[in-house]
Parts: sequence; structure tokens; C-alpha cells
Amino acid sequence: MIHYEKYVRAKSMDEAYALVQNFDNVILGGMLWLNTGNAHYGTVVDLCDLDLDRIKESGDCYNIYAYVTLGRMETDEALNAHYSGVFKEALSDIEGVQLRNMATVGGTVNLRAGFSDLCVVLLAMNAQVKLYNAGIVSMEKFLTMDRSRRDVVKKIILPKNAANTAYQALRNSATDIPVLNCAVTKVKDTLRIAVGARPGSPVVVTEQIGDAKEIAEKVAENITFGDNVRGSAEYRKLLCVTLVKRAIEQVMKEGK
Amino acid sequence: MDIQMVVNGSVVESTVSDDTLLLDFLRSIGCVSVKRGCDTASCGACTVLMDGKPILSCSMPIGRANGHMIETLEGLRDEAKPIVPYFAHEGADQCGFCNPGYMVNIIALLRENPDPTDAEIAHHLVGNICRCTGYQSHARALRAYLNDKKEASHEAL
Amino acid sequence: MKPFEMDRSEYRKVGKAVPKKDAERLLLGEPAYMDDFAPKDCLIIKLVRSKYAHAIVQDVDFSEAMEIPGIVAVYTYKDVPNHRFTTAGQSYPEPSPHDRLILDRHVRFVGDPVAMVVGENEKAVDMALELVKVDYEVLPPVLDFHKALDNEVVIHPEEDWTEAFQAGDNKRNLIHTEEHVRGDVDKVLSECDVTVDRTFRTKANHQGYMETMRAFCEVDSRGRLHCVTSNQIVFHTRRILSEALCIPKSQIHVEKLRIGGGFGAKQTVNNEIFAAFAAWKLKKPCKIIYSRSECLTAGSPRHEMEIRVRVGAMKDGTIRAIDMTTLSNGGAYGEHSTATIGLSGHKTLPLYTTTCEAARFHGDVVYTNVSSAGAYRGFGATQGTFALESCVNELAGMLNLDPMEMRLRSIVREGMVMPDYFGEKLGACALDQCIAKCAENFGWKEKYPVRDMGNGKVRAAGMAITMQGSCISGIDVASCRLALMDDGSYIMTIGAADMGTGCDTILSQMAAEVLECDLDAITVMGADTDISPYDSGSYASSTTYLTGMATANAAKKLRENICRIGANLLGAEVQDVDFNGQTVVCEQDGRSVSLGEISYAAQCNNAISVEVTETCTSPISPPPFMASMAEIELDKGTGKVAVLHFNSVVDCGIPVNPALARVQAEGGALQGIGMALTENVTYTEDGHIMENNFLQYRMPTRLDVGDINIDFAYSYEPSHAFGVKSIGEIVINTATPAIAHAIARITGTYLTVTPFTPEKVLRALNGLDVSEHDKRFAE
Repeated sequence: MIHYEKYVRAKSMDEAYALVQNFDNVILGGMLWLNTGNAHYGTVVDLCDLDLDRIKESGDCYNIYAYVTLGRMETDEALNAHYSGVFKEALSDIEGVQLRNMATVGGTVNLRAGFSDLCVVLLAMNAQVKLYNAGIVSMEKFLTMDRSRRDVVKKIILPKNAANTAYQALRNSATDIPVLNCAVTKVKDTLRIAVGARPGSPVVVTEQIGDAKEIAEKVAENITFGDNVRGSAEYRKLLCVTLVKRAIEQVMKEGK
Repeated sequence: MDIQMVVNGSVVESTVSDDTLLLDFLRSIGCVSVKRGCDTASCGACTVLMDGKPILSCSMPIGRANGHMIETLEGLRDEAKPIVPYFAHEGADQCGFCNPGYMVNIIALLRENPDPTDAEIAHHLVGNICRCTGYQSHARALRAYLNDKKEASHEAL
Repeated sequence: MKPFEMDRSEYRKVGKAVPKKDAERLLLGEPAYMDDFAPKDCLIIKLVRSKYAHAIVQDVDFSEAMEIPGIVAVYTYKDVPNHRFTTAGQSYPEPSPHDRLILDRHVRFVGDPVAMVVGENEKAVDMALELVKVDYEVLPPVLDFHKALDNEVVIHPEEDWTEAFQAGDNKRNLIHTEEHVRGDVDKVLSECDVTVDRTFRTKANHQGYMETMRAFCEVDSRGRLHCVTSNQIVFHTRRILSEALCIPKSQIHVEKLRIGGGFGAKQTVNNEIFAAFAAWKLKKPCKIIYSRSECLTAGSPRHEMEIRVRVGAMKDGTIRAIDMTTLSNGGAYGEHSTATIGLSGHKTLPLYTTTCEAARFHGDVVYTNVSSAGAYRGFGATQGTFALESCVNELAGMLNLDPMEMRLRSIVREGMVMPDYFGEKLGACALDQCIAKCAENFGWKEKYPVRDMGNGKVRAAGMAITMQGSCISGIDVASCRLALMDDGSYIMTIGAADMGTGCDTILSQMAAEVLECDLDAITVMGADTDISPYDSGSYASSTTYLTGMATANAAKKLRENICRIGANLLGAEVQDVDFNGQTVVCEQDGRSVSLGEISYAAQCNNAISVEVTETCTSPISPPPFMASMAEIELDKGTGKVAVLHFNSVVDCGIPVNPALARVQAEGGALQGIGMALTENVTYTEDGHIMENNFLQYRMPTRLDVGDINIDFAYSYEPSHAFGVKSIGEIVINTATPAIAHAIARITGTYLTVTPFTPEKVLRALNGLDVSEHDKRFAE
């Protein structure tokens, strides 16, 4: 169970940013992962008063602010209409509705968990992360950024041209953390293929459209996999072929 | 910290330690239907409604719940009562420890979607783990309740 | 007065699906459990647990911990009595070795308690836990249970280790060994047309009760220790606390409230000893609530077993010989080890009594440096059933026979003497009907063939049969007290424990049948060592059968006494009156007195008791039977198996409450499906359990179990007043072998190590090695 000395609702992003420069402090997000350990913090910083539970369409993108919950993303009609329901597909097997009503986009992205279903989709989509201090960075870059430099995730930016995105995953049981997940975004003749739960951080490769199986095999060959309790590297490689192939077939069918 | 929230329709004011979790606070004020079944937000036994939405009170900092409207099964009994006999009839209550969590979540579902399909029910309740029943009796009970309710409303027309 | 006799077709309460007496309160979330009633000012106890699988505690420095405001005490091995006991809730003398201290200097698994921290609030205790500094002398651990026997590392070297039945040897890391031989197994096997020889391994699965282990203790107004716990065995708890704390039993009062699931886990006095010790020392209410992580790393899981089975059959499918060798992993302490291992054989070998000419069972249980195992629904039979039924299915495949029809040739039948089941004669058996009805309900003929669905998915089916017992024959004692109240209602007091299974209701149905009253007229009390008549407790599938027997007897006796008082009031001879539930009627002239009048008359110038207690034991343990069939869909691209349909037909004699019996069977199926597909327990090289929370230990959700369909085949057990047998445990046994069978139908490979993860299934499908890499086992 989490323990902390002080709970603060930040009045501004400035305040939040300043507070988390101290490594005793932390931003709450949904407080789901934070609460699974026995960590002690000085101050936990809640951004709930900063109007960050918004989804805003603007020009060629959707802005998903940090305190939008996974549940909201999963059910947002405009978002799912534009992206053919990929968020519903990718997020609705995460534990249960109660958890998804609490888990935040900002918290999920900032955690950068290797198995994150949201991160793998965002990576395929070539989404961007708006950080309070470092500004806008690509999801790809964000995943490899130095974690010891504290920043605050303000929003993610989804390009509208990533409308044709498919998601695939294999879970040992219905709502478990995936053994492997992947997402494929097709923009014109280019496929952005992201693979997560390797079990390390998700990675992305770009391929031209072609035979789904051949591409999937090539992707699996070029990505490194590891072992954990949910599966071995060897199995993940086999799964990668199946899941990437299925996702490619899906985006090819969409024909957008 | 000082907090003020509406719990089951009544304003509750208290002074608590900052890192109190909503679950422990609710139990401390007598809402003992709220249960802790795990340490990892994985079981749903602590489900309550916050501003009408089902959430896990085990992972809700009291500071964030401050100022909000909380409902536990203690405050939802009028809504639960018509459903209860169907679960009792099936023997679906069993050990009872997970019951308040799923009952609250059922109420949340039916408020949003009064006529869910079996698949929608299963998907909505999937975060409520039950180890006694195998879930079949839950499904039968809820289906029977919904069918009877539908029939009654047809008769009323 | 006529003796109470009733044809079962006339039962008005028994055999009826009535709601549980506590259903409404539980469904509305009314206070019911230990922590709903524990005093608010309870001191909180948490445990410092060993980081090492095997070590000697050299020193515990808790000076800094004591400085945290609110910390009341820290106890270590220096503070506890030096008297060994077992935490296994079994009848005295327990077959489990006395190998525990409340806190031992010698710690034997990752999670073994080193110190108890007691404080005023959880936060203070959590902080203090981290400040307790433990100096360990780390010892080499024995993690591989194949290498435990006669290992140079001795896990229990202590001289005061004792074991009641002298079948174990602590110096050899041997908790227990046993062997039973009937006939010449090797000779008969050599005569068989086909034989299979396979080795299976099942994991240390968790019961997964939703209410974690917990207890609070206080010193009551008489200066006695009052323990309120969530367990299945209040009387054994009293004895164990007495032994652990070295205080007289007369000074201990144990009661249980509602239990949030037990499944055998709470047949071990796992946490109560700490609350009792601290409360007795401090004379203040103390509470311990295990976290989920503690339950999953220091609870009382199923015994991990490795079972080698050799089965021989003739071309027509006749099973002629079975040879079973079980190696069981007791873990760090020996709770329930002796009892579980034998059942892997005793509750499987008799299934094929009709044609099985020779049978041999050998079992060893060993100590290792992992979490101590305990009791879990099925209790050895589950592990044995997976092994034997997988072999029988494989034989059917080798012989190209329908495994359903093949079994009919060899299965045990009503009236047979079962030499592999303690020579008991089978009084009631509908196993043949279970199989036939299950096949019909399930659609076996259509579902058994392997069917490619054309979308990368394949469907197939598998089956298994099983048996269990209905008590521990010749040991278990059950009692029931029934008392007539002033208003004509009754109080039933029992020592059996309703864990949510509904025994309070089921026993009331039996009493109400005899007393011809409404269920609401019976209030059920217990279990409480100060109030309840002695009962071994609710385990070994005994409550409906054995406590049911005591209940029926008590109700008959009370009915008789009511008639006697009624006859006195009517001035009639007792043989001329009868009781109809409301009144005692004189059969000659129709005059009657009401139960209310009788209850008042019982309190005035009366020497006939309206409070009767009956106690039962049983020389036999009548086995229930069950057949199950599972249809799966296998994704050829990922290896993922989905259970589409799971059907069981159970012969539990007469189901007292068919709704509750059905839920038992559905719940057992869920736990079985979890064991088969998702619930794993793995270890790091140094003995840490990887699946130490519910994020990692994945129990089936409602999207994982498919459509479970339960039905009954009826037999009438002649030794019981209402013809009942048990249902509690048997229901968990079949899912694993039935699902393994279905997978083998598609992949051609019988998976022998649970769980059957997508990875293993895909490897089987691709013809790759399916053995599991276990980090405890040196290559």
C-alpha cells in the first residue's frame, strides 16, 4: 500500500513541475500502479484541478489530455469513429471498467510499461507527447527518454492520418497483462508496426505494404524478445508473426 | 487533511491523514460493505460509485475523492433490493465477500444501460472476481431479473 | 408416537432449492465478517518475513522500529514458547508433524515470519516493518523437490520434531511415506495389450478465497483469550492456540463469523497464532489481516505433486492394472502433507475397481524450502485424477476406442467392495449414469471429433471422471444441538463452518424436514467453541454427510421429546400422539397442544429436555462421483485455448439443495479451469514466488470459463438419513484432465504439467518440446 506525507492538488502545471523535481514526490495519475508497491513518498501531486480530462479535436489531430481516463478513451464516440474503434479494441480488456475509469492516459503513457496496450497503439500511430517542460516529442522518442529527468505529461496528440490502425494481443487470460501486443497503422502504402510486451518497451518498424506473412516474419526476425512469467522469447517470436500478420490483414481490409 | 464529501446522500466531514485511501475511510465511517480483496486493483471487491461511476476505492486517494459524491452499497440498497432475490434464488451469494462489489457495479451498469445483453453484462462485470460461483449463477440471476422486469413493463403498457 | 420416517418422494425441505439463510444480508453488504466487527481500537499486527529461502536468524535489531510513534511491541523468536506444534486443523493426534514454532530462528522459506510488529495503526506498522534489521546466516536451500529426500541439507534438523504416525523422518527431509500394493502390478501390466507410462506435475495452486486470512484476539471479561477468526475449524484452532501459546484450552474461546471463502485454505491456523500471542501478551485487542501477497506467498496452497502413472489395458479397453507413484512437495512445514498424498491414490484407483486386478500406490512427501502447502479442495485427489484420467484418455486414443464407452467397461459399480478404498463397500453409485447423462447433455458424439472451424481455430472435446469421499472415516466427529425456544422456534448450534457453501441452510433443511417447520423457524448458531457441540469442522467434504447425520438425529430426538411433553399435557400415552410441526395431536380424540404451549410447559415442572445434542461419526466415507466433458476452441496461431462448454453430471446422492449443489459444481469447475489454463506458481532461482499478487496469479474471470452446465445423477446413500453424499470437493477434479484431453485431441500431445498456457499448447501443436523450464530445478 502506498504511503505519503502530503497530498497536493496542483494549482498549475508550473507548480506540479516544480514539485516533481524533488524525487520524493510523484504525480498521481490514476494511482493504480503507484499503489501496488509499498512505496513511501513525500508529496503526491494531483493534476485533477487542471482541466486535463479533455479530448479536443483540432485540425489534423486529436488532443487527449493527461487526465482522460482509459475508460473515456475506450468509449469516446468521436475518437472511436475516427479510428475505427481501435481504442475500444485495445483498452477494453484491461482488468475491468472500474480500473479503466481511474487509469489515466497521462499516467499510462508516463509509466511507459512494456506491456502497455495504449503505448503500443500510440507508437504505431506516430502519436506525440506534449511534456510540460520538454515540449512536444514523438512517442518513439518519449519511450527512450531519460527517466531521471522529471517532466509532466500534459497531453498526447493523435494524428488523424492514423485512422487505419489495427490492434492485436494475446493474453493468457481475458483481462491479463498481454504476453505480446502489437498495433499496425497504415498510412497510404506505409505500415507502421509497433510491437509491445516483448516484454520490454514497445518498438516500432516501418514497412511498405506487401505480403502480410512475409512482413510479419521479417518484423519478428528483427525485433528482440525476452522471457518473463507470461512467455518465453521463443514463443513471443512465434506470436509476433501471428499477431502482426493478423493486424496487417486487418488494416489492408479496411482499405482506407 | 480536512475533507468533505457526500457519502450515500449525507455530507461527511472529517480530518484524515493525507494518504488515507477511500476504501479505508469508508469502512471507518461504517460503510463496511466495501471490501479489500487484493493489493493490486485486480479484484473489484472495493467497488463504489464516485459521481455515479464505478471505481476501485482501494486506489482512490481520499484527497481526490474530496468534494465528490460517493455511493456504497449501504446507500444503494433500494436499487439493489429488486435484484437481490434473483441472486438469492440461484445461491449466487455464496461466501458473500465479493457481492457488494459486483452489486454496486451491476447498479452502475443498469443505470447506464437498462437492457444489457449477456455479453455486455459479462464484459462490464469482468473486473469483479468471484472465486465461489463460476459466475454462471450471476448470469442466470441477472438475466431472470431483466426478463421479469421487461415482462412487467410490457404488462404495465 | 411414530418414529420419524418419510419416503424421499415426500420430502418437503430436503431436495428443494431454497435461498441461503444469509443470502439477503450478504447480497446487501450487511456487516458479516471478522473485520466488520473487530474493535476499532485493535492493535495492528504485521510480520517481518524472511528474504531468504533458508537461513538462521542471528539477530533482530528493532530499536529503530520501536521509535516510530504508535509502535507497541516487536516480538522475535526470543519471545515465543519453545514448543513445537502444527497449524494443520486435523483431529488429534494430527497426522501432520509438529514442526512449527510461532516464530522460529530457523527460517525455511521466503516469507517465513521472522518478527511480529504490533502498533496502533497500519501506517506506523508499515514504517516499522522496514526498520527492523535482521541479520541472517544464509543456508543453502533445497528448492528442487526431486532432490529433497536424503539431501545433505536438512530442513528440520531439530531434535524436538515429532510426528504421530512414525512414517516420516525429519533427518531425511521426509514428511511421510506410504505404500499400498494389491496383486502383482508388474505381472498384470506385462500381460496387457497396451500400457501408458507418464509423469505429471501439478502446481502449488491457490484457493483464491476473496477474504484474505485474518483474525482478531482479545482478552475477555473473564480473562480468557477470545479469538474471532475466519476459519473452518474452531475446535482445532482452540487446541492449536493452546499448544502454540502454552496456555490451557480452558482459557481459550474461538469463534468464526461469516467466512469469505475457504476451500481448505482456512483449515490451517495460519495467522491466528500471531493475533493470539500478541493479545495474550499485551492484554489488548490485536488484529492481523494478511495482504493478498502474504496469502499467495505464505498461505497454504495445494501440494505440488509429481505423479507417475502406469496403466495397462486390453484391446477392448479393459483396464487391468494401475501403478501410481506420487512425489509431493510439502514445502517448509508439514501441514496436511501426510493426508493429501494418500488421497492421490485412494481417490483415483478405486474408479476402475470392476476390472482393475492389480494396483500399487507409493507416495513420498518431502520438505523443501518453499512456501508450506496445506489443504485445498480436492486434497490430493485433484492431482491424482489429472494423472490417472489423462492416462486413461491416452489409452483410449491408442486403442481407437471412444473414451466414454471404454470407461463403462471398467468403472466401479454400486454394491462392490473397493479394495483400493479401504475395503469399503459402495452403497450408492450412479457413475455410469453420470457418464451417460453427461454425454447426452454435452453432445459428446458431435463435439468429440476434432473440427477445423476454417478460421485458424479448431474445436475438440475431452472428458474425465472422478470420485471423492464424504468425511474422514473413523475419525471425523460431527455434532448438532437443537433447542426449542419459547416461541416455538428453534436454535440450531453447530461446530461446522459455513464458508459460504450454505451448510447453515442445508442443515436447517434437514432439521426442518424432521421438525416439519419453516426454515425461518430455525436460527443457526456457530461455530463457537464455548457454545457449539464438538465438530471436527468443515473439511474433507464432511459437513452435509456427517453433520447432516447428527442434525437428522438431533431433530428426531427433539421431535420425540416434544411428543413426550405434548402427551403429558394431553394426558395421553406417548405412543398415541404425533407431531405435525405446529401441534402435538392425540390421535384418538384429535385434541392437541401447540408448540408454544409445549415450549412453556417445558420450562415448568418438566424434566424432558427440549434441547438435544447428537454426535456422529462414520466408519465409511461414501464417495460421490462425477463425469465431466469439456469442449475447447484452440487458436492455431497463438495456442490459446478457450473453454466453450464444460459439462458435469454429479452423483452426490440426494442433493439437499440443488441450487447450492449446482453452484458448488460450477465454482469447482472454475477453479479446475483456472488450474488447467492460467493459475501458475513459479519460482526464481533463490526461491521467491513470482505469482505473488493477483496481477500475476490469474484466476479465471467471467470471460474465461465458458458455459458451465451442471446436472445430477441420483443415487441414495443408505448410511445417511436423507441419502446424501458430499459435493464440496469432487467438483474441482475433472477440468484439468478433460481440458488436457481436448488439447491432445488437436495437438496429439498430452500436456503433463499445469497450467496449459498458450505457449505450451502452441509448442505441442508445432511438435516442439513442451517441458517447462523450472528455475528451481538444476539442469
